Amino acid sequence: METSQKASSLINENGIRMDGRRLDELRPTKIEVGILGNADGSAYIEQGKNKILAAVYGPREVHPRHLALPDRALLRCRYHMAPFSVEERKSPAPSRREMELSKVIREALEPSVFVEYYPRTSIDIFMEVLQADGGTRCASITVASLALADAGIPLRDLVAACASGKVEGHLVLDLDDAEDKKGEADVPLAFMPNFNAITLLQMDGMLSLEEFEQAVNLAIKGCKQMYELQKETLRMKYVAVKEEVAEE
Amino acid sequence: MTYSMVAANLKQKQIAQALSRGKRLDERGLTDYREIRIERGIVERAEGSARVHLGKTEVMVGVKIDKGEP
Repeated sequence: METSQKASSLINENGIRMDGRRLDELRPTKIEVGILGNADGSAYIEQGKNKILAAVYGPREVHPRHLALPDRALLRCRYHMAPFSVEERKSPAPSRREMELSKVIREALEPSVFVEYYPRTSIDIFMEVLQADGGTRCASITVASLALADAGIPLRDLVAACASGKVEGHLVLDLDDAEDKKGEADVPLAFMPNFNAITLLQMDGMLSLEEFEQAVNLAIKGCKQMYELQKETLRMKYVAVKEEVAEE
Repeated sequence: MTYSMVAANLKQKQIAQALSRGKRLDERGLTDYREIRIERGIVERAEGSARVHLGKTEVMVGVKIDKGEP
């Protein structure tokens, strides 16, 4: 009985993907907060094979000083992929893609932070991808937002991100690397559920207008699921603190 | 004296007192290691990987193998 899929097909006749997921199913995700002792806030995510660490330092003095803004905090983001995170060793020097993603992630997180509360300071966010398998910018936004919350920085809302796209004619959620590379389109999206606001929306590939609208709605659904996971992770952190305090 | 100098001075005295009892600040003996934890294969994508905890220090290493010219 032939149970394996053809080598060339990513989605089989029953609408099941290579890793056994349905078209609208997120990869198994595990998130932790507060894992780095030196950072003001930190979080770690494993989404499928993605492994990403985020650390937040701040609000703190801006160095170099001339970059300080008089009325608000300066948000600085660094998205970096470890050389061993991808199939072919990646040079540790920042690539154009990493610089673009750093900017785009900063713009996705900025609307959520009350930067006006901390003039003349900087809030530095570092995201290190330890293993990459597609959708790292979305996972990075999700984990960076949690690290900001872990640092105690006042936020309007958490930002959750998820990518949808089109693979072999089907609309799918949370593409992994193989689906991203071979698919027809990839739509990463970041969302603040309390405001019903999209803070990141990119598209790579080709989609008709209707398909694009469907992809956006699907990605928003994925974001809402990530959001519940983020809230639960934060809640667990305070349950642990409560238990510690109760023991004393 | 600035705050940091006062704190550093006090810490110095604390360390000296602990040493006179043959201990370090975290109650370790003079020749005791901090807790060591080693894990292998933490990044499946890399040909080799490991993570080592030495007390609170944590180091993660990945090894990639490829043919090519140096």
